[in-house]
Amino acid sequence: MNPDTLWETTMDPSKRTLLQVKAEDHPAADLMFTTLMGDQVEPRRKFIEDNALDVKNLDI
Amino acid sequence: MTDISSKVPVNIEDEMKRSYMDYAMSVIIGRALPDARDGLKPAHRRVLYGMRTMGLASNRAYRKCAKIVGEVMGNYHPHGDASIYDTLVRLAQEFSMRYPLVDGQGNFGSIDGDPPAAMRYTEARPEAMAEAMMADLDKETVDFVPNYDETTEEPTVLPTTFPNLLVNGSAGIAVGMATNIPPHNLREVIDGVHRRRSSSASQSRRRG
Repeated sequence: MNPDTLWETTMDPSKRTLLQVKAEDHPAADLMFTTLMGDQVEPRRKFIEDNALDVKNLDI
Repeated sequence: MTDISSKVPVNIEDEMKRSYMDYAMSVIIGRALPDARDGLKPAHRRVLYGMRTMGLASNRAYRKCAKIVGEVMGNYHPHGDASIYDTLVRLAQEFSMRYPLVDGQGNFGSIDGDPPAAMRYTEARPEAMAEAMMADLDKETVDFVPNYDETTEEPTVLPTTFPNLLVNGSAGIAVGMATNIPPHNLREVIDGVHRRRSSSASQSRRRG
């Protein structure tokens, strides 16, 4: 990627999006991490199946 | 910083959910699991379709594998050339595929794990089985979508004339789920399809 392309797509403050990640509901955050990255597969599979149709950004 | 106001607050569980689901579904649909309709993962489909658009056929001359890999990588599959060549090689190995979809010329490795020759040495062309999966492809049988840089189009699925998912099977590890489907004898699968069709037809006749 050339520098000017990087500027246009991600660096330009007038166009970029900065996400400020907040953890306010700690039990909910903990449950999400445990579901997605824990060693129990079944809840993860169920979570994926339940939310599969909401996915918008597919990288195929 | 001058642009603090442009920061978008987001809950960590919401961001985790969105990022993880994007990743999981990309792996499930776009990489590791086959489409039930043609039994192919995107990499396989792109290799077969790439060979077809190059004009290769089971009754025409072999072409250098490096040429095929370059065509597939440049037009459809913006990933490593080694992984594309490995995909092509596997499709040609008679000990990996119940019915190979690629006809290879040269050293394509052995069942003992000997590696295939580099792609500059080997040649390939589609098997007739692969052509049976792409017959009528240009008769608006399946949907096409733009390729990764929108310079051409690629099929979302192949209009296969036999149930390749059952015939060749599939194995893959995705996120949260995996698949392992054994291969089946083509004749028996086709017999099963006929049996299934005639029994459902007679059932619907009985129901009137």
